[in-house]
Amino acid sequence: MQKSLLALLVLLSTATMAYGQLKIEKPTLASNNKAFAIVVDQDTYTHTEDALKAYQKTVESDGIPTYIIHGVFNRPDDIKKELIKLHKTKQSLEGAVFVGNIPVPMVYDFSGHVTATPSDRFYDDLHLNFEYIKQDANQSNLHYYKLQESSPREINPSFYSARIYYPTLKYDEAHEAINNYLLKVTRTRRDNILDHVVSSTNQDYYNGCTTAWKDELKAYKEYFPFLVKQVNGLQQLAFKTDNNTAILNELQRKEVDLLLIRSDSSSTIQVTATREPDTYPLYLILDTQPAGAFDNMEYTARQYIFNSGNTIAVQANTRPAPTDINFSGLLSYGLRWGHVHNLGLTLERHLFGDPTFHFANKDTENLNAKLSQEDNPEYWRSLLKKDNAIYQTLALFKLSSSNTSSSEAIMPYFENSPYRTVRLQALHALSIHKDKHFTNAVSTGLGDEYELIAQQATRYAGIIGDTVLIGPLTQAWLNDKSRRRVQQHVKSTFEAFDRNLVEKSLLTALHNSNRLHQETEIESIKSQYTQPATLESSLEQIKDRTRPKEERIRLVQLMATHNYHPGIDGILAIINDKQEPIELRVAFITALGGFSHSWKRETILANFQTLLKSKATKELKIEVERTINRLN
Amino acid sequence: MKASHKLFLILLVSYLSILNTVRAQEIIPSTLEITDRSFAIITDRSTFEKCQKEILSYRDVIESTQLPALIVYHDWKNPEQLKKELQKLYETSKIEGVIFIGDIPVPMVLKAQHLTNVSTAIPSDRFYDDFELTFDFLEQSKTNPQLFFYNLGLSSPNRIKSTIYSARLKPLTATDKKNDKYQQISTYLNKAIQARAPKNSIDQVMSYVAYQPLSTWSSQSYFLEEQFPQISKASTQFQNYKDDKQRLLQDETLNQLRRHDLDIAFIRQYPLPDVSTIHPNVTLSIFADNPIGNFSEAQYNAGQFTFSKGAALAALANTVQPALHRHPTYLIGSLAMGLNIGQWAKLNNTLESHLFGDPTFTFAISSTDTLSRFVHEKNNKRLVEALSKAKSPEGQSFLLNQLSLNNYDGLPKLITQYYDNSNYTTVRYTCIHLADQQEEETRSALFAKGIKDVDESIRLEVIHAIARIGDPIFIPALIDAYIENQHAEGILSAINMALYVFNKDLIKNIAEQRFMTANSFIDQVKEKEKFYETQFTGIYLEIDKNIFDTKPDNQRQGITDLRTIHYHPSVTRYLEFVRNSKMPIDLRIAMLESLSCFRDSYRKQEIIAACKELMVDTRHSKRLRDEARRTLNNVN
Repeated sequence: MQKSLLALLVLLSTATMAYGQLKIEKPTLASNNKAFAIVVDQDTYTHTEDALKAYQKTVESDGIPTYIIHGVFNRPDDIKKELIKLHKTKQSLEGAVFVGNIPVPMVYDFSGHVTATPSDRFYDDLHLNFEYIKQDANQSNLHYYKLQESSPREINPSFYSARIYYPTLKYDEAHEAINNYLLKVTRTRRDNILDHVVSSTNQDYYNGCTTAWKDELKAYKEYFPFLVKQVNGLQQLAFKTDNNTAILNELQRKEVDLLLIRSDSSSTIQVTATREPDTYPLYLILDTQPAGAFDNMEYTARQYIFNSGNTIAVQANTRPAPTDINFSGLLSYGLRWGHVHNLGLTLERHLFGDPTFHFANKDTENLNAKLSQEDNPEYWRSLLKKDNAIYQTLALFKLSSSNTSSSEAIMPYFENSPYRTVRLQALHALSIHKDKHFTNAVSTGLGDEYELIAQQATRYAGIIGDTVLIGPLTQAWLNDKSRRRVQQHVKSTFEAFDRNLVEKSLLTALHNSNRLHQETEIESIKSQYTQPATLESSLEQIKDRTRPKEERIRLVQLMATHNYHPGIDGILAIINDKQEPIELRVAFITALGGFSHSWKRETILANFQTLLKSKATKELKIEVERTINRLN
Repeated sequence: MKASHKLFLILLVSYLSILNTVRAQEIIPSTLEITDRSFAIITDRSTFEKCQKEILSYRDVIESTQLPALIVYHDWKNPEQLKKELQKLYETSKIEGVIFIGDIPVPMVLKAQHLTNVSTAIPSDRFYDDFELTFDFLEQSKTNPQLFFYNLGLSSPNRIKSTIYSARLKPLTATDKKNDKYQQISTYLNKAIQARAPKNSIDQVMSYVAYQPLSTWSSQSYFLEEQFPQISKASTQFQNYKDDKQRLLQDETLNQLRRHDLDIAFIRQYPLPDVSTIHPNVTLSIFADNPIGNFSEAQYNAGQFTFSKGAALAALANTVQPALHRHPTYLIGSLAMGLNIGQWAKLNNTLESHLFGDPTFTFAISSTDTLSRFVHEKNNKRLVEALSKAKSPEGQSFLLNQLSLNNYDGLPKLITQYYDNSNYTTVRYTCIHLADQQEEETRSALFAKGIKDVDESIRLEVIHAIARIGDPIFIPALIDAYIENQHAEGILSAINMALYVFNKDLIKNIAEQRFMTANSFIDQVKEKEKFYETQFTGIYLEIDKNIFDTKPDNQRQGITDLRTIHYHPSVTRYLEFVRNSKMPIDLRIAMLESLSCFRDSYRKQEIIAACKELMVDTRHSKRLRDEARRTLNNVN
């Protein structure tokens, strides 16, 4: 009786599936731990069911109750709905993996740009609110979305997600590949100590700066405390124009746990794609031209997981984006790759392969659980006190992203920590506060012994624009010539400041120096600063009413993109000018939204408050409110 | 002889020797009482007369640091005369170092091919400061009477181990009358006196290298950072230039040398321009390769540093192109722990390395470890105790090195222990460096670990040592290192050079197997062939072919190449070559000279036996027999 009822139920569920619904198989593990969801399209499910079940068992034997959700999915929303439901249950969700042919959300860039980015943030960040636009006319699995006006802009994923995706028109091939991959995961041990790392970067990655290359070694030593103390424990490839063979060789080494490939050139990845070798490093982080563009059938990240080697997962971007590796240290402690991947996540960054995988657990803090629980600032504050670079980096990130720590509390970690990775994270954490501590940190950071911190500090100096930073920038320019990348950044950062002040600062510094060719250098600066720069003239041109509106708007956008702080007062004057066309004033308000860290932010905000109280049009006030949000 | 006669004779001899001393030179004793050490200012009579005020003030400022200083001036006839005086001062006044101011004879040393890189005469004050070395006088130069040529003595020790430290203050040929040589000396001494106050600690260092593989540079930078931990607080404290093909940083280097706050500049591969226009201000400049310290020349560049209008105080430079594979900043961190420049430089002396300027200058101590009291420590128990307390890596390295200088018998255990447990790269390097002079067992065990060390400079040290030893037992380790060091260009070329000293077929046998089982190549066969292609081509494969050729020019070339590539497998044939009376005598002698460089060879006993036999075999010419004696001494 019971049997037949069950059979009937199965029949019913199969029948309903045909109508576009889906089936949820519950975890076989009874546990209070947060759950994991394997989301798989019906066709793939049918052909890889045994492997999927085996994979489910593997994840469950690692302590995570695991759902299998399968069905025919027409739109991303079909899946998201289910994920939201699971996330809302008491057990909640710590992660999901999308197996097979799962609809690809194409998300228009948050700043409203014209191109769409394939991004599973649609699925895993439940804070973001999207609006459906359309399905792609040619590639039916692509679905375009834009962010709703009311949606938050920052990415704050609710759980981790990854893809196991083998795009091809030959379905048998895809099924076999996924089948083999899942079985590979089930037979790979999760107690492998992260003790062999390889890193490759090409010359462009550091603007040819050898100091940047050299400095990274010490950061690696902080990230990976369990490396074997031998030559092959950490291989840092020298940057050359062609590292192809070297990387192909490294991909063969069976002892390699983590391989970082960061370069501006895609040639290596192309070569790998053509040769399709078996690859052995368990985890690869690719910061190369979009190896993770899974809207494209040929996306290269898949090469690394769908072969007979040992590779379990690849992290890659779907579109060019900076890759922050400052949380890599957590991998050493046995954190699930999905958890680590989620820290400081971007729209573009994706994980391909099993996100529940991890290296040997060396963690005394049970961070896997802590990261899937509700945020607990008290805990992160206590973690921050442990003398451990990796823990401190995580704690600083967690405290800053929840904005639960003051800049006074963070400052000592920036000023006194012996750990490069901690100082770097502290600088990032301070940037949230946009206060004098942040400016002071940037000022000191320009001369930090870790090149990456100095380089980040130049970037921050540009978005702050406080004239007190001209002096320290000048010092870096004059006394830090061995840092090629910083030199280049300092030069472009000067563009964000008042040219007269910069010129005066450079001349004074040269004048007070003891440099051999002091006079020639002074003359050279003088001649460089005789002609007005583009941004300086832009400021004049936007004031010119005889110019077309469109041109003036384009120029103000240019000023905002280049953080031209000296232009802010002029822009505000035009915004306040009732004689100016409303369309232009609105566009100028939008442009000011780019100055979120500017030292003139308070001036902008005060001006906006006045506007809100004035008799300005509704259209203008809406844009003012929107921009205030962006500035805060 | 009766006791009274004996006493009389002793008194007579002493009296005569005192008389002789008085006649020979003037000594102004130190004003401080000498307890355990002192310093000697050596000058010529006319310099003393012209610069008396400054010399006395210089003496006073040295003594203000509790180092008793005496002044000796004389018109020195030849180096021997001065050396005798120094030895005497060492006995009577416990001098630890000297400075040679003005016209001091310049010893030019020949027959030291096993200690250096060149076969020409080397201007070297090791003649004066290494009391164990012996020299045979050849001639005084006819064109430059200051130069005295010597052969390294037939039975001179084959290693440099300076007894005292020395430095030169030799003025340049005056370009104008206002700045004659005495004026230069006075100006310098005033500068040195002023440099003493205020006390300056080492917190600003710069390094320049033109070309070097990235990873080699990275490793060497890491050494300096570990040696001077206080320079790693802000970026400007350690300006570290690795120049590229365009040489964009050369001008910047000049600006660096002009910095008033720069304590030490470390320069490699830099074609120094006319220094007289730079006015360098850096306290200590170290030139690791470019031989700008050739003070046998009138306008040597190192002199331009000391006698410049800038505040530059001292320069360490070589008189000729230096021996390969040196670590010119070994133990330099001790400068921040109380050692004066001379005391440190002495630890690192080679035949060609020289200090120019005030060797007694001491930087302020900026470490928790203070080493000054261990410089002359002979009690190993005390050193071991200090070692157990030393926290800084350079402090540990220095003490291990002192124990090695004292031939401490517990050293093998200590260096093994420190190598295994230290997280400090420089300390592990020191252990490997000292292991080189240890018994085979300790050495091999440490080399086996060292060739796989995380740090490139350590691996390099082992590979160079292996090439000097040449035991085929090391071939597998070298092949493995080749496979493991694919990303360390500097190591690969060192392995390439090292493997030239081994038999090609032996290499092949091992490589065949090693490459095939390696899992680090996508195409093992191709990588193996690439290895063979590099390894089994080039001039160094032709050494034996040249040596056993019929053309004397080729033979000479082959024999000369042996100094670079010690081809151990053919030692028997080389010795036969020496014995073969049908061969031209010059070539046989040249062969013996080259075999002098086989001091560390695992086949050195065969060379020793052959030399012993040749020395007494009167069928051979006296020249050959003498050379055999010399070779025996050099390798023994």
